[in-house]
Amino acid sequence: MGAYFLRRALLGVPTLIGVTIMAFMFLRLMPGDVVAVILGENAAYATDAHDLREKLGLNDSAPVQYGKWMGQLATGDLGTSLRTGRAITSEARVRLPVTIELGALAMFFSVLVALPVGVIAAVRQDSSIDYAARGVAVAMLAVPSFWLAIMVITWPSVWWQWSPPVSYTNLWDDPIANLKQIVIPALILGTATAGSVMRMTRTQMLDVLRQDYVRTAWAKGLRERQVILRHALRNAFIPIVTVIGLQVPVLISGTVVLENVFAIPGMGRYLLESISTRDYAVVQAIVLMLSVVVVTTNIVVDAIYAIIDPRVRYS
Amino acid sequence: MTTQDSYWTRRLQSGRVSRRRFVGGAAAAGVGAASLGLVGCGDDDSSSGGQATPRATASGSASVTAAKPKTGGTLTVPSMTDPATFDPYTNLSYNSQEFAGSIYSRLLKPKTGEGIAPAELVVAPDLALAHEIPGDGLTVTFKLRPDVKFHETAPVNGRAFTAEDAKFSFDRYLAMGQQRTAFAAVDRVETPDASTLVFKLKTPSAAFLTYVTWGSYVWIMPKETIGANNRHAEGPPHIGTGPYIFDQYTPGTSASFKKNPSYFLPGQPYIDELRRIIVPDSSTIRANFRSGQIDTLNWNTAIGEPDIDSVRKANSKATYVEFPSFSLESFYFGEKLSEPPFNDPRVRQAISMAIDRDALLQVSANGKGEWSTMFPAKFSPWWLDPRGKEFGPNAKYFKYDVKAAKELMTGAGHASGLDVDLNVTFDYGAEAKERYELVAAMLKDVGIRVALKSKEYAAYQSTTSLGKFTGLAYGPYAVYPDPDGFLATYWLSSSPRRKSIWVDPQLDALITKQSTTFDAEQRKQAVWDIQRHVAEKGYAPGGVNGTSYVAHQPWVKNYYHSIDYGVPSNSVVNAWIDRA
Repeated sequence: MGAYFLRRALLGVPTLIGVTIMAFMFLRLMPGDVVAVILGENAAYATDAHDLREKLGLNDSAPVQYGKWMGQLATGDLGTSLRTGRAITSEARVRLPVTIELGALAMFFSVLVALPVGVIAAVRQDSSIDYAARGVAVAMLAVPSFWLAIMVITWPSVWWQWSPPVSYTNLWDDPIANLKQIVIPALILGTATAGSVMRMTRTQMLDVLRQDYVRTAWAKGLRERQVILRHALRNAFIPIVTVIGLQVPVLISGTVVLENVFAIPGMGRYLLESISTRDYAVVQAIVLMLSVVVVTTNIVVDAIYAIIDPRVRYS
Repeated sequence: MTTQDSYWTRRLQSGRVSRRRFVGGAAAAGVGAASLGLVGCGDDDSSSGGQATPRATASGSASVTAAKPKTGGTLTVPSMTDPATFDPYTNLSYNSQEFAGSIYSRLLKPKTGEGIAPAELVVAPDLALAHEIPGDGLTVTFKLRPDVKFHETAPVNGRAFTAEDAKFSFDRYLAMGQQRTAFAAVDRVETPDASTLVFKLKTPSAAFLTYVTWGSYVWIMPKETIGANNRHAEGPPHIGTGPYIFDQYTPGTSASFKKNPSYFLPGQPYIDELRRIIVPDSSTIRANFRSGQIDTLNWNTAIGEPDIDSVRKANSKATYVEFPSFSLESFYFGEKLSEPPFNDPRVRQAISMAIDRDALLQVSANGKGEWSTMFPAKFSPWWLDPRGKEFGPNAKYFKYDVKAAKELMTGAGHASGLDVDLNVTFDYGAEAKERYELVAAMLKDVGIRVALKSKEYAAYQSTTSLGKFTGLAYGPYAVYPDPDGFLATYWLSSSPRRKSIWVDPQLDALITKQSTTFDAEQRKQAVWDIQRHVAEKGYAPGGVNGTSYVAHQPWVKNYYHSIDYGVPSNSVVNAWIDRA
């Protein structure tokens, strides 16, 4: 099994190289220019624009720029922001844990709500609980998280002069203050993914509950809890875990919006700012980092399959 | 609420000023230098005694001036983005400039106080106590404070500030500052002694003192923090002589500054800590102001007319200051102004007459505001009201007159109309989008069938904003503290930053005249002549200026707003927190 995962990890390398090429190319094909963003209308002064381009290495040909970037990556250096001149690695060191915390908490809330509700909806199929759960799941999928976020920010401040804490506190400095700020966006972010997980859980459970071995379990006189949790849910889990794994990119894209609205200094906000200012170096680096997260998640999901279902063997 | 509806120095016209005050006002307007001796700039605005003359106040009071200042506390102000860079010479964005404004000083600064509007420029001393512009206007001498020290931070370690530091900063700015063209008249900078700084100019510059004063030009930085490549490091140390000392910066979160105990104004600042928290979303900023987590809303996070009622309703005890938005938005033509159809002034005049400016104001500001020209409305005394009789016959080009516009189009050979692109960006927000759509609809009424083409902001910045587009464009211009800033940047035929390309020696001559005229009235008339001339030529049919609101919480006392970037040294430095 170890060899299998090593092979999977090695297969991730060409994937990531492909990502670097695409990110590099498409960014430069986008209209807009970091030099114009930095200089503003002073980019009209040809000498200033040329000098800045030279300083930033943008006068080099695309292959040379790409080669330099690859050279930096090989040494573990993500590069330097074109706009601010600050090291991307040091920014990422501060911001990545923030996004991971937000994403993990959102996933926790999502699973915490979606799994039991999905199971109950399946077990009580066509009951009022089932209809309510399905309605809520559809609403969770339909309501855009940015809208929900703005409502949560705006209306309490109008009605009760209260708003979520705006100044971010590091988890390690003050966990309570940190959670006060991060819980609401995590709930909102988790809401978006909970709908999908809930629906998948219900569907899979309905499928499994009709299987012969579940009927056998009932016939053996096992308690409902044992039948549902041990026999049905465990066998329904593989597609559910797949869906949960697929929610990782959804969560990442969600952080882009929610970090902005809740003033959380994570990678999503950094990415958004860098795209809008055409900071190629930062966007490339973040895309690469997020790709690593997605590739790693897929490998982890594969590993979980084997833990959930002993029949799954990798060779 | 305080209503302050005028920009810049009105004192010159009102006759309410003392001689000392006149010097400040004249300096601000860049006028009267030929008549000045070496004079003080007036007392510091560090205390209520800083007012050289009693001031008439606007309705309401922005703050409390009679109470005894309290020391301590933290002032939390929002900023929508991180500082783009820590070197204010290399980036004009407000976040870099305001970061600098917390740390550094300049020679002069805009005064704040009761009766001075947020966008009004009244000169006060900062590092320079006095200035002199004798006879020919080719020499400007500043006498510097003798008692100034840099922050107690390595490697400068609190050493004394001297004229050499100011010379170093100006020389560096002249070499690489983003707005160094503002100082194009400077030939060299000299330091006869440690407390005297002399500028030798190639030509007189009526705007020179304004540029020295305004907080987006030359912040005084010690040479120890500048590297061999003439660059400031993208990180600490940030060392200046300003009221606050850099403490820490966390990307995406906040920057904090501690009170400078050795600040040259004894006892000030009163507030111990200044925190700039980074909140990228404007609705989040407003919500946090309503809930009291944010203490002030400055001009860059100002509230527009559509939101003011809800903010005020939820936070009725805060102080709100209303002022005309200091912005500029108009049509421009890029390189196509020299080609048909826009090379015909009648087409450009028709465009101007197709615009119902009152309807634009209704959309963006509930009808509150004024019509801009090539200058923002209320940019006093420079703005010439197109609805006033002094504008003269060319005022007709500002009037909404579809029939006359169609006649002009017919006269220009376009009776059947025109099909053109109108280049904009919707990234300036929903209100701007509404305005642009309305403008497009208005043009269609006179036969100019425009296709609205919106570009994403960065793409707009690197193309349309630099005059690279086909058809027409409509959008914002940068704004300046002096008319010369607008004119030298956008209207002088030699400027690379023109948004419409023309050759007009008459306009060039008028611009040169105002830039070298020190007499206030004569210079104002020259600037007014330029507006009449440009209206006739239809170079930049203008839009409107709505209303903006700045605000601060009831516990922030003696706080007077300014749209200058150096808010810490001219607003925060005099304020205190009193939650009692």
